[in-house]
Amino acid sequence: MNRFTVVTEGKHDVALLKTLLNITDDNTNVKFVAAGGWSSADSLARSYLIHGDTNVALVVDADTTDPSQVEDRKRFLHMSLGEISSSAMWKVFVIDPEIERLLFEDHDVVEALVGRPISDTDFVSASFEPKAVLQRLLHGQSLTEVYNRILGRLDLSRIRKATPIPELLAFINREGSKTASRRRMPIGT
Amino acid sequence: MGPSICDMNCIKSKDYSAPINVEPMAKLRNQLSRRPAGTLGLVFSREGFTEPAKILARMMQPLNILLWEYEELEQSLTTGTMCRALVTKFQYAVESGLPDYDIRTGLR
Repeated sequence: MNRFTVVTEGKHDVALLKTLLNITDDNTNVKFVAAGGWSSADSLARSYLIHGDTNVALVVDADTTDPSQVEDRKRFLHMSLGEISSSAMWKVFVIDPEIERLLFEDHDVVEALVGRPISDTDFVSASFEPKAVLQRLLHGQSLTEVYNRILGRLDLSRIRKATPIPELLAFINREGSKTASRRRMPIGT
Repeated sequence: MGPSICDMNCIKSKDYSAPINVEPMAKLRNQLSRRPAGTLGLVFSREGFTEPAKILARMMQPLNILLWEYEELEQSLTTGTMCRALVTKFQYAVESGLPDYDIRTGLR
């Protein structure tokens, strides 16, 4: 049994989060799952919680930079997981606008990933659509493959301080977390 | 032997490039209202569902539409467990009121 399950959208998100959180495959305490998209990540997180044997960190893209829409998604996901179990069992992380934004916190890291200097225009564009910019700069290479090949060798200390990585790390490293406080939604509600 | 749950469904499958919103769900709900009680509606989506669509499925009374994500469909078809997946989804809908139980966390 994994005490913590990190549910996220894509395989490349799993690769990125594993590296940023410095969690290796032999760590049986934490399991990473790529759901497919934010909608299936929501359903998958709810389903893990209904089994009641793991804590769940749900990490999804906001898919927008509009603060009110970001809040809407957070509110929806809190309500969604809150219907299934106690809030002690789960935590929602909505990254604005996409998880790839974390990489652009450090210019050196992005430039090392793409293998050349990047223009200021690209950095500005990345504030709004970091995944598309990164994919364009990588000329269609697989993000998962690039992360697995390069990311682990880079200095990620600056990115590891960016929101929400410290909070996510604190959640999966917390002591005394319980896995038995499931609160099922009563039938008929 | 009579028909199983796998034989009594209305299916709506959408191959849209965007998440499914409430309209197809509302149409399916109307179609179900003209069918015998116990008929299930299944909605398959390649790109998932919007927040309002999920809320509608969860608030629907009776709960008779089950949501399928693309990845669930892919797993069920490749492992030949489509009917078992449907039964599992239905059981979780009955037990816990979940229209969107994800079968990747376990089949019964």
